[in-house]
Amino acid sequence: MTTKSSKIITPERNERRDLFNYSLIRRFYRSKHYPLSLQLFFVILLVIFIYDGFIGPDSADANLITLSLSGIFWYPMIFGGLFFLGRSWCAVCPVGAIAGAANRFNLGFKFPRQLSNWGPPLLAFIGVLWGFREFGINVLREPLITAVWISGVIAVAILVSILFKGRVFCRFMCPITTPLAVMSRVAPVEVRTKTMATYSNMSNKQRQYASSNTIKKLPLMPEMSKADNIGNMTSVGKIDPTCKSCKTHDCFNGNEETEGCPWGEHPATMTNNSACSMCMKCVHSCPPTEPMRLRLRMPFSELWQVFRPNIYEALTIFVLIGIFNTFLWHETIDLFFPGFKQNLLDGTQPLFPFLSEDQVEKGIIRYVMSIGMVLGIYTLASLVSSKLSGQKLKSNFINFSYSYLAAFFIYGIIDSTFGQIANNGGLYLTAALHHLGIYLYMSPNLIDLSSLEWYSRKWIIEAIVAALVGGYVAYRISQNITGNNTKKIMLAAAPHILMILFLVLIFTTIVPRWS
Amino acid sequence: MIVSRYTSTNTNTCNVLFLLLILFINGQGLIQDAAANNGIPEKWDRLLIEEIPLLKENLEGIINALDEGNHTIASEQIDDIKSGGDWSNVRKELESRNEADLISSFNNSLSRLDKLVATKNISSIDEAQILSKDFKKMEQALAQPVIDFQRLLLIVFIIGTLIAFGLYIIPKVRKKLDIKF
Repeated sequence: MTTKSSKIITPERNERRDLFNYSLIRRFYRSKHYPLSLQLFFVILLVIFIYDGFIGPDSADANLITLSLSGIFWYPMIFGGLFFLGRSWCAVCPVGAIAGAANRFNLGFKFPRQLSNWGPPLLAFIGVLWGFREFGINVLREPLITAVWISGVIAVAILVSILFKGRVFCRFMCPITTPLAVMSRVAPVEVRTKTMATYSNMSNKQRQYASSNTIKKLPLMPEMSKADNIGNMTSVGKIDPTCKSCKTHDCFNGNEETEGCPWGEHPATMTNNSACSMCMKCVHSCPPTEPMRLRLRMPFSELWQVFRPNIYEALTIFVLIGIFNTFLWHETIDLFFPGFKQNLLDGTQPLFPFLSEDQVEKGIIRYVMSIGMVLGIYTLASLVSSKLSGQKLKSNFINFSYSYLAAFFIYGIIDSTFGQIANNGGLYLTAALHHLGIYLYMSPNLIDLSSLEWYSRKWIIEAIVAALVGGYVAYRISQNITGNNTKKIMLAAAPHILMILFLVLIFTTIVPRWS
Repeated sequence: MIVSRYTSTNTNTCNVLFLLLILFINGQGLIQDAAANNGIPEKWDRLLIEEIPLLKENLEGIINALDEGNHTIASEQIDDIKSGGDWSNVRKELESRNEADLISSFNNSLSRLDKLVATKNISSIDEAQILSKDFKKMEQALAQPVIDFQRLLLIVFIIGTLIAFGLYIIPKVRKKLDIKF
């Protein structure tokens, strides 16, 4: 996709949007103690949580490890953080910090290229983190199991970090890396160079010609194949002149003081947030001319400016949408096809004799159905869109997936984060304050949502905003991939806009009533 | 290169460590006095997080059962409160906060309600409402924070010290082991 916004945003406007202009933010992020102090804090907390998981109460609502990992961790920290600061959690993650420390003593093996993608972590997310729950083993809600599971994750992280060069665990093995990578694209901030990298829409021949005098001297990313690396580098249309003339590339390679980018990204060519944890290592190691910026941008705007959209990201989006309402299709299928549910169970159970009926129903049928149905209807929309606009199905499938993420983020993530904080905030505060030595009991409901009249009608606002934002992102994506032909733009976007509307209406109207 | 950008870091870290230590040592005496006067419970029962909602459920169960005229279920719910560990733990917490009035008021209401339910008396609904009000008063009392300053400062001190120590020692270890990135 090409970026059109770069043409209208002047350098002066870009400079005004640099958050480093504010001394408090600048001092915080440029401090040498960032992110180390926060990493240490979270490592200490994690140790306390694991200890409590092993010896603390069995109750998930009273044990620190389950309280934090199933509640506080996901909603305010991860989802709230994603919306405002991208995947900043990764910069302070205690498991990542431990893995990073272990990685200093790595044996130098190279992680296999075939596994250097977001497929394995996506499988870990679907299987280990979420799938276990459907089989009746909730790794985030049973204190002892949670403690054992987290200890296992740390052990794997240490082992992998000692074996391989680079942050292999964080990038290619952490079970939440793909959801974070995808969702970080909605954030309204970005770490970029003063002159932002943009990808040109040159032909391959033009790129080959241009590559001879543009940025071929930039270091290659070790985890990518040479062809991908060259493709990546040669398609950059514009990079910062300071980076062009830089001899050391400390931001990427590191220096004696600071580590290079743990995610293997070169800021000069970085155009997206998916592999940027805002750890500011590039900012710390950059020479005093300081081409690094922390910029404000329009939320969701990255979703229609995705260069090299990724099939794993597209799949992650629909896995997220699917598992967010696991029960929906399975529970409602009998309304349309009476008896279908039982027939499906009778047919499937003999295939898994080692599983109980409940495990087959929830872990296999319901789970596969929840992801499969969403993927199925999206594929249908992509098929129609590609036929109408004359595009390749795969390209259409991958590109437009980001528009569904925009809608999902509004009706799903924002809504559930607010709901979770309102309904359980008192519980988290009571537990946290208790451990600090402040003893009080707060009602779990920080806000009594049932007493708010407008809250019962919130789905109307949610549905309208989600459909509008999702539809707009689909339109912009269509504009980017089909060119200036208005008819083609509309034909490519229409099926997706309709499908977004359909999903939004289902999820905002049927789901809350059914659940 | 920016090798010497943060030369004063270690001095600052030492200052923070020193300040935390002074604060902790000097604060000890004051804190102990304050703790003794504030009636801080010896060991706050964190299971109250679960126990209070369960008690609330019992009370709602009594009111609903009496509304439907089902005295048997109401009686079962009362027995649950009396014999279960939830009320006894809540009571212990209230005792440690010197809230004897609230405890006796709740206990009296409960035993009155028990008798009225046993005789299937019509005024048992009113008594259940009184019991519910007593419970709300207890909830309000438990919502008042009792601060264990000693523990609070100790935790802040330990975590602060560990972080400050880490910030001080990690760059030194890196330098010592000659770790280059």
